[in-house]
This record gives sequence, C-alpha cells and structure tokens, in this order.
Amino acid sequence: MITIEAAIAATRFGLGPRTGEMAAIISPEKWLLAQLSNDRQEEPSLKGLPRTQTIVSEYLSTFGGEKRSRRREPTSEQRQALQKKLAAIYRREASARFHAGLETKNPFRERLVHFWSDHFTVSITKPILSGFVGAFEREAIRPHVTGRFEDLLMAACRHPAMILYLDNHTSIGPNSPAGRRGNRGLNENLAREILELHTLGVNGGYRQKDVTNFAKVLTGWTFTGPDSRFGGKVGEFQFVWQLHEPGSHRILGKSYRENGINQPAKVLRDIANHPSTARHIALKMARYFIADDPGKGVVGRLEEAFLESRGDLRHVTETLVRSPEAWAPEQKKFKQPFEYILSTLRAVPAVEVEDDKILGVLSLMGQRTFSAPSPAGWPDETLFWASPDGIMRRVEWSNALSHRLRKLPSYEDLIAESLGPLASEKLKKVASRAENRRQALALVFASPEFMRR
Amino acid sequence: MWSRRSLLKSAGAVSLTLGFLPWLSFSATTVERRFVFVILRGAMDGLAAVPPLGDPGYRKARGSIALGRSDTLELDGFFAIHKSLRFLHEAFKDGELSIFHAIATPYRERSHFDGQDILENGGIRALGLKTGWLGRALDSEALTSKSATGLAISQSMPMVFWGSANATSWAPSVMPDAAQGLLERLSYLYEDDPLIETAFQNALAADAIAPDMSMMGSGGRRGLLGNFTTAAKAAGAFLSQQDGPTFAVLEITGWDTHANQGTGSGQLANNLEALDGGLKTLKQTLGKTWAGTTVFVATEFGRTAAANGSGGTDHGTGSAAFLLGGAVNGGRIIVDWPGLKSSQLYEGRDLRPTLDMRAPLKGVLHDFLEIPTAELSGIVFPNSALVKGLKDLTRG
Repeated sequence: MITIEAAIAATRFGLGPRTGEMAAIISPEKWLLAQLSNDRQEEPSLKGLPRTQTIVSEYLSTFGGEKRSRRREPTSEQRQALQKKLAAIYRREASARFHAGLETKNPFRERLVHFWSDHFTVSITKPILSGFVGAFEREAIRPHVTGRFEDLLMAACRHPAMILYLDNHTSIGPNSPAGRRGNRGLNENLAREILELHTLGVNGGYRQKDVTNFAKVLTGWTFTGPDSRFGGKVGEFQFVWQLHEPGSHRILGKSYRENGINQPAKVLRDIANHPSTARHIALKMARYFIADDPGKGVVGRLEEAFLESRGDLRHVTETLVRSPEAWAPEQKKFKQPFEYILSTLRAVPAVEVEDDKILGVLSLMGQRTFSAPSPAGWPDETLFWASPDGIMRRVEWSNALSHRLRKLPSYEDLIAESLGPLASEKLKKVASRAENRRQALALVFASPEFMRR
Repeated sequence: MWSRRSLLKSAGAVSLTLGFLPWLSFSATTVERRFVFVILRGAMDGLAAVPPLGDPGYRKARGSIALGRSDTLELDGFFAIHKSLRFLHEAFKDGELSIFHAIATPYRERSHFDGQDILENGGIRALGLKTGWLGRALDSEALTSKSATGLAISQSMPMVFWGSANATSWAPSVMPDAAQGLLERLSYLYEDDPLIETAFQNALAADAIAPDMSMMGSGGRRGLLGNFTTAAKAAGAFLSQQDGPTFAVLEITGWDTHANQGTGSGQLANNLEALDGGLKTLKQTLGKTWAGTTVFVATEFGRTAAANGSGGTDHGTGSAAFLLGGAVNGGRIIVDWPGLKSSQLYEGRDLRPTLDMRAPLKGVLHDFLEIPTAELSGIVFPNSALVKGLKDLTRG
C-alpha cells in the first residue's frame, strides 16, 4: 500500500515517480534525507562534458584573445562558426541535464540543483553564455547544494559564466591603474544582483550607495581570457589588482579596507550570513517546494535553521523536510514546464523522443532550458505558469505522448505508479470511460493532479 | 482544422443554463475600441530612444554614448527620436503618436523585478497587489457590461492581467491539436479545479478565433512566435476581428543594456528597430481597426543619465513612453522637462521623473474606454485620486 506521504515525497520533492519508486519508499522522510548526504554519485549523463577552462581556451580564442591591440575583428564567418560551436555545447548540456532529471535515483537532490541553479541564474539570452551555462551548473552549483551557502555564493560568483552574464569583466575601478589610463569605469550589474537576488533580497536593507560601493569592491573580480593579459590560467577566476578600485569602501554600515582579493571575499562572506539573506532564502525555498504562500511558520523555521547553522544548506533542507507544512495533502504548487515534462516521461517506460524535440516542446511551453528571461530566474508563481496557453500546451503534450508510446501501460497501472493516492476518484472514472487506451493515458497526464505537486 | 469552436459553444451553453459564464467568450463583446499594452522588459533607455538633443547638459551627461543629429530624426527642435524608430517618427508627424518623457511609475528603487511588478500591478509596492491593473480594468462594470475580453500574446500570463477571468493568453504551437473527445473529457475533469478550468476554457476560446500562423509567414504548420513582429502580427489578427479582444498585451525583452549599448547602431538600436518594426506590423495587420486603436508602450524604469564604465548604462528612474494609434490625438511631446545637470538629476544620477505613468493610463482608460474616474482611482489604480488622468490624449 502506497501512502500519501510517499506520493508527496516523490512528487512535491522529487521529479515525479518512476515505475516502482513509490512502492520502494518505506519512510518518505528518510528517503528524502538520504538524498542529502554528500557522497552521492555523479549523474551518469553528466560525464564527459567539457570544462569551462577548455571552452574558454578552445573557443574564445577564435576572437584572438581579449587584448584589444592584438585583437582582429573576427570575420562574420568566424563569428558564425563560434556561435555554432557554442550552440552545439549548449544542446549537449541541455540534453544531459534533461537525462539527469529523467534517470536520477536522487530526484530530490536534482530538484535542489534546479532550485539553486535558478537562484544563481545565468542565461543563454546572452548568446555567448550558450557555451557556459551547463558547465556553470555542473561546476558551481552541483557540488554545493548541501554545503554552506557562502561557499555556494562564492563558487557561483567566481564562475566565468556569472562574471560574463553580469558584465563584471567590464567593470573597472576609475582610480585603478587601468582606470586612470582610459575612460572606462564601473558597471554595477553584478553588485546589484548579488545584493538583490542572490543574498539580502530586494527589501534586505541596502541602498544605492551600498550597490555603488560594492561594485567598486568587485572591480578586478574577473577571469582569465584566452590572452592571459594579466597572467593567470585561461578560463579560471582571477582577481586583477590592476583593475581594482583602491581604498576602503563602506557597505551596509561597515568599512572594508583594501586587502587584495580578501576585500571582496570578506564582503561576500558577510552578506552570505546576513539575517536578511537567511529570510530571503527561507521564503524562496519554502515557496519553491511547498506553496506560493507557504505560511510564516515554515519560513521562520528555515530562517532560524539558516542563521543557527551559519548557512548550512543541508541543515536548512532537512528542516524543510521535517516541517509539517511540507506534508499537507493539498497540491498547491503548479509544476513548472521542465518538471512537468520530466514527470510525464519518468512515469512511462522508455519512449523514443529525440532530445531536440524535448527542447522544442520546452520552448513552446516558455521554458527552454537555461534561458531564463532575466537574472531573477524563472517566475515561480502558479498564476504565471497555469496560463491558458500553458494548460493547452500540456494537453497537447499529453495527447502527443500517449500516441508515441510503443508499449501501452494500462491506465490503472499508470495511475497507480505515477499518482497513487494523489489520484482523484473522478480521474479514475473519466479514464475508465475513455474512447481508447491512448486517450485514457492522455487524460492521466493532463489531469490536475499530474500538473500540480 | 479548427474543431474547438463547437466544444466552446456547448460548454458555454451548459454554463448559460446555470445562469453564469465562468470564463470568457469572444462572441459577445460589443466593444469596438482596442487598447494594446506593450511592456518593454529590462528598462529601456529613454534618453537614447528620445534624446533631448537641445538640452545643453545632454552631451556632457552621456559622454561616449551621446547621440548626434545623424543618429536621430527630428521631432520638435529640442527632442529627437532614435533613427531606428522610423515608423514612430512617421506616426508622430502624422499625429498618431504622443511621447511622454521623464515618466515613471511610483517605484523609486532600481530592481527590474519589483519595477515590473509595479508597472503591472498598478500599485505603489511590489508585493502590495497580486493582481494586474489591466485585469482589474477588464473586470470593471464599464467593460464587463460590454463583455470585453483581454488577450496576452505569450506563453505565460503577464501579471498585468492576473486576477481576471476575462483575460486569456495565446501563443502558437507546433504540436498536433488534441482531438475533440479528449477535450470534452478534460472539460469535465477540470470542473473540480477552477484555476485550471478557467485557463483551459479561455485557451479554447482563444484558439477558436486564433489566426493560422502558417499563413503568416512564420514557418511550421501553425508557426512559432519567433520575434516581436510575429507576435505583433498575431495580436493584429486577433484584434481586427469583430468579436476580438478589447485589450491585448505584448512583451519585448532585451533592454537591459549594461554594456556596449551602442549609439546610432548597435545592441540598443537593433532592439529599437525590432520594436518599431513590430509596431508598424501591428498597424498594417489591424487594417481599418487601427482607427479605433491606442497602443501604450512602457518600461519599468529608465537608465542612468551617464554612461557606465562599459559603454552601457545602469538602472535608473525616469524614461520615455509612447501612446500610438489611429485614435491618438498625437504629434505631441508631453513633458515637464527636469534637465540633465547633475543638480537636476534624481539622486544625482537618473533622469528625474516629473510625470506619473498612471496619469496617461488613467486618461486613456477614462476617455477612450469610458471607465469612470472613481473606479480608476479606487480599484484599477488603488489610492491614486491625487494622480489626475491626462485629458484629450485620444480623439472622439
């Protein structure tokens, strides 16, 4: 007998059950907590993908390095060739990410990767990022989802993908050696988004002055381009003092003296552990897993867990799993398109859908992989995704999927294996009266209980 | 083949016997006028779109990204318009475009996301309201009595429509249509989930009058949205139908020009050109409906007066907005220009806003769509009695 808690664990916290998954969950809480231990194996589909360093040195060198004097404007053929190579990496990465979600035995951990990857969004809406978004998630996010928040923040902000996405490689201290030679200067994009989106939150108590000063502190926080202009290893993070704005700077009422890379690193560690950050992360996480309005109780507990453990994400996540709100039977969250598509495919035996087709369907549903519209990531509210167009695409997908299955499970089995106790009596009745077997399966995929979690 | 209209009608008939219509129907509307809201997401640089070339402080403030005469088209001797906005320039000369400058919502911080929330929720705080002002306008007595409807050309529902069951969203799909039998069963299955039910029924309603995208040169059996021009074309095809929506929402992203925004050409120029081309297409697709149409184009806030260190601009405050259409009493620049000297800038860095975005919106909703002032000041834009609607923005 499958309990409602097992179904919730697999659906609300996981990616939807695979055949046999719910039946094997003896203790739902333990099943989730076990996925948080740090000795988990890498997802097989992610093996053999290129590292950021390789991508930078092999591909960006098309542009002859970043140094202007040596740089020749690439021809349009070179430009197209580069974009094509980056697009090929992107497709491999998107496909690997999809397969990790489809095949994983640790779906809760995978959801945490999705959550934190979205929290630290980098997006192919900036075309150069096509080559880097996948590597970013694998290198900066995956290793830290149950580690310390400050380490995760540091890894995300040091990664070339984030630096490129939020322009910090172009931000130069006006009084730095480089700044005094030319007329270039600050770019506050990264500084603002770290404060607003990654740490304190928009109402976290910072002012414009804090943004400007933090931008000064972050000058020189960059990575080594293909020409190694300031030394360093190609494609790796580098702090370049020649670009850094000298002096002490005041942020959130505290003065940070000049101390090389330790100055920005100190600011990052301080804001990572700020009470506003704890509040911001607590609300966002509870909202992602439980409900658009998760209630003060669980948010307060997560906030406290964050503060008392100095941002130990494993402890925070355990607190989430142990909260009674997490197990309320009502399915309040509406799956995002990526999660919805994954859950339909996890519910059926292997189905032949080309990876590019999946990417196409996700585009139709408005959630092409790694293409969030802004640094804030994907909206998470039900009203955004449960749009008329969004519902109709799910209906069409359910229909298309039911026609693609070679081996048809019975609708009773599909309901039992994919929804179990979450299935309503009405769904069972409607499916039993379907015109044919494929239509019965489509009704299950398109049911409210399948779209929600 | 479109097989959905019949289902729609039968669903509607059932509801009528119950005495109410829980979802929208495109067949009943008696509104001939059209209002299109175009959201420029990412903060458009108003000082580049409509540069005040006559302001002695302009060149000094902008530095390397200042536009010159050759990058722009003349408007009134003081203001010029970016040369990528050729169609808008023509519309200005033809009296079909009014430009608002130094305009902003009540928001005074610099977060895109809160800024967009306020642009769409019509309030003064990001989380203050979780419904949209256009949705509330749609649900006003003045418009529900005429069975007005709204449509977003989008894969998701923009916040500006949130809360209204009279709004739907539509985007083309290349997946095969689901068969009638499946749709009928789902229609029954969804009755127990009002949120999904309303969305589903509204999707069917939109599909029933949807244009055939493959006929619109966008490729594929039913085509794809692709770019802003395709979206504008789809919007035009919906709006030009007699029983089409009264309101439409379009979105275009890519305005967050932190680096290398360019001048007469470049990143920002390309985006302005996409906007301009889409608006031109909208006019063409609307045909004779254009005469009864107004289009409001707005962004969440402006950008810094000065260029930043990367040839771009950072988040600012005041920007420009456009009111376009055959029903617009145009050819005017409506502005109380605050100047660009550093003492005149907001917080020493941004174009100072001197016009509240709600003023022209309230003016259009009042004069053009006949929503009473009390409703506009109390419900559509709550607690906004002090912000008077601008008069005579539209004709007739």
